[in-house]
Amino acid sequence: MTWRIEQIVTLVGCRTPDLEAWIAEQWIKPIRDDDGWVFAEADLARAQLIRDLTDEMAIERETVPVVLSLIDQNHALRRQLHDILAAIGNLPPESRDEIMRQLGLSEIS
Amino acid sequence: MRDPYEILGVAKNATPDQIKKAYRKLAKKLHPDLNPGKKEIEAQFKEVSGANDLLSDPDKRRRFDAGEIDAAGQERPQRQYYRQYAQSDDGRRYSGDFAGGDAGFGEDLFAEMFARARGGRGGGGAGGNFRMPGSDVTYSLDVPFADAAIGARKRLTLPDGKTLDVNIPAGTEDRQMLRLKGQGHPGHGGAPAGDAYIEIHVLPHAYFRRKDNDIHLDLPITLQEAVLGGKVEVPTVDGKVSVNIPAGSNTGASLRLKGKGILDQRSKQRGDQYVHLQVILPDDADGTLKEALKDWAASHPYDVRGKAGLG
Repeated sequence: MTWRIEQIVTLVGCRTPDLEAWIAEQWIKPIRDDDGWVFAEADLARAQLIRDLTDEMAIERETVPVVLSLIDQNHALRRQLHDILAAIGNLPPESRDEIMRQLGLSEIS
Repeated sequence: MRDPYEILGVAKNATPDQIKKAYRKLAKKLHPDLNPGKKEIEAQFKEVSGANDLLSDPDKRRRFDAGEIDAAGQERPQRQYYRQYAQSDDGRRYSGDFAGGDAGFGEDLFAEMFARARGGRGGGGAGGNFRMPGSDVTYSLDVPFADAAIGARKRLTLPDGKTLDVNIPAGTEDRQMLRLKGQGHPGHGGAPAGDAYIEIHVLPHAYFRRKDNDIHLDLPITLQEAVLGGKVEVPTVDGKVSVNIPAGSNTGASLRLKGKGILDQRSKQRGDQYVHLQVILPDDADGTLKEALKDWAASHPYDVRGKAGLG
């Protein structure tokens, strides 16, 4: 599912100039085709997050990019950790157990 | 729902400002996007925002205090949080990954890992000495029905200003993925770039419907055209064509326009277009049709429901 700017404004409950400013600041990065911006589900959810930060939590405009950057870095780390865990999961059992042992992890049976 | 005053931790006689402050404090603590790893927090946040919706609206709060309404039903409708997409392909555009993206910052960690593996201590040099191919990126794109049917070229501008020319092949299906090789995130240490994937969303058409490789269209025709037959213009994805309606065509009769459907991507054969006729009676404001049919009807009775097994 994708949306156009007018739909995003309604769904998020923000004003068009706000949304345009968020795009200009690269807080949201929709792609563009001949008819204008195309918003994916991640873009919509991110616009709602920005609305929550500014309206519900009264986070100041200058602080928003700091919060977004920390959230993004957190997700990048989670993704990397996830990939590493998946790679460990694919190792032979002895190697996997050795890693678990070094991390001090053990399963409760 | 629990008592909204209790949920927000404010007194029954709290001022609107105190309620606002209490809510903001809790929102900062409980917003699901600030707690990406905690699944259960969403229910808590929902409760808190429901309590705030009730108490921040003076009218609702008054009616709640008077016992006219209860706190139930104040929960907000289900919504999606960014954290649900952050780990998806779409989220990669924001959070990046090992090799690239805005927040992709694994370089130092991996350089360190390789340095350790070689027996050295501590981190490697800036940038690190390792190769890693770039990751794939996914974008979503809306495509009008006719463009997906007969094919089109679309120019996309990416968030970084780069443009991609996307060739939409004839017969593209809804949710089909197009792959643009080497258009994803750049690789690291001389490794190749990832690919860009474009997920196509075919927009529904005002009157064409797709079923497999055939296109279906309901075509209204006049009483005269139904009884007497005649030539009519019919829209197809290739443009208008002239079609002969046989005399005596009923509602429900369909005409097949061979090869006017959608290209099958495997067999390279085009499907057909089916035109389903719908007889539309005139508005007969002056009653002349009614008048003309009176005599005719009396001398031409015919059984339609018996034939359909409804008699």
